Amino acid sequence: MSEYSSSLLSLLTFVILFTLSAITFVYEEEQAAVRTVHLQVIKEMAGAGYLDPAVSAYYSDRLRQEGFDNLIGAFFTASHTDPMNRALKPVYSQVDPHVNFVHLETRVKPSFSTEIVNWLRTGNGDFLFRNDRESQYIPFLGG
Amino acid sequence: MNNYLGTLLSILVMFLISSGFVQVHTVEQMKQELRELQADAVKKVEAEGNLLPANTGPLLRTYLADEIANKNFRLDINKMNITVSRTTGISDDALTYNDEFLCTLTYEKPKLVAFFQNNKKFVFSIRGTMEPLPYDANP
Repeated sequence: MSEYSSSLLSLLTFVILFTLSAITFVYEEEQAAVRTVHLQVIKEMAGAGYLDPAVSAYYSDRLRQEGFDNLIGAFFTASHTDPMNRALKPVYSQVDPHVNFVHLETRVKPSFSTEIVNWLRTGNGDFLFRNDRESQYIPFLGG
Repeated sequence: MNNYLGTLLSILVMFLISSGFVQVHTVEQMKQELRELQADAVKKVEAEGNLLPANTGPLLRTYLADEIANKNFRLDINKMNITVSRTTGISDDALTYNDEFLCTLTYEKPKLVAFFQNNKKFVFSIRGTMEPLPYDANP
């Protein structure tokens, strides 16, 4: 009987080892996937000076293909969404964060284990990435 | 369970593995956060267009404090040190058009990690190039 208990304890140790390694592996994979998409979107956004709905829809589809569901609303919250009101690339040494920077917030609901780790770490289960990026958009002034 | 010493050792190993995993995960996340902050800081300096390397210190310090508060990171600004030095370029001392710089971020390691390793600080460095701003494209 005692040998069985010891074996059980050893097995439990292995189960804990396996579970923790799986959880950390999944966490890092998901974080990397979401971060990649976030940086792609903010790069496209900086290039155009605003977030086009087509770009947003394309990358939302990609996130859904990765297995993330947007149960909490839209994935991307952008500062500029109107093509008539774009962020402009700054003129030499005249940088105004309110005029020349785009701001993007990506919020994704990850899998259950990742959500628990996130909740323990930050108090919120979701992956949340916020970034400002200088706009690269140069308006064409005619001529 | 008659082997008390063995049982005790098993339980010890069980806790040791868990704490080890938690520590490794925490340190990896800390490194990711530091790299993200540093990339943003480099972008910030690049976007500024024209400034002296000596003026980057206070600028980046306030910026990083804001970023840590905004992004809800578990980092301490007082343990952090960031320096920017110009490497090559056409101007004499200022960071201007297409100049290249080296940004170095250091952060104190957590105690357990520092105990097992020789160097007591994380050191990350990124090279950046100042934005070629279109001051001659749109007169």
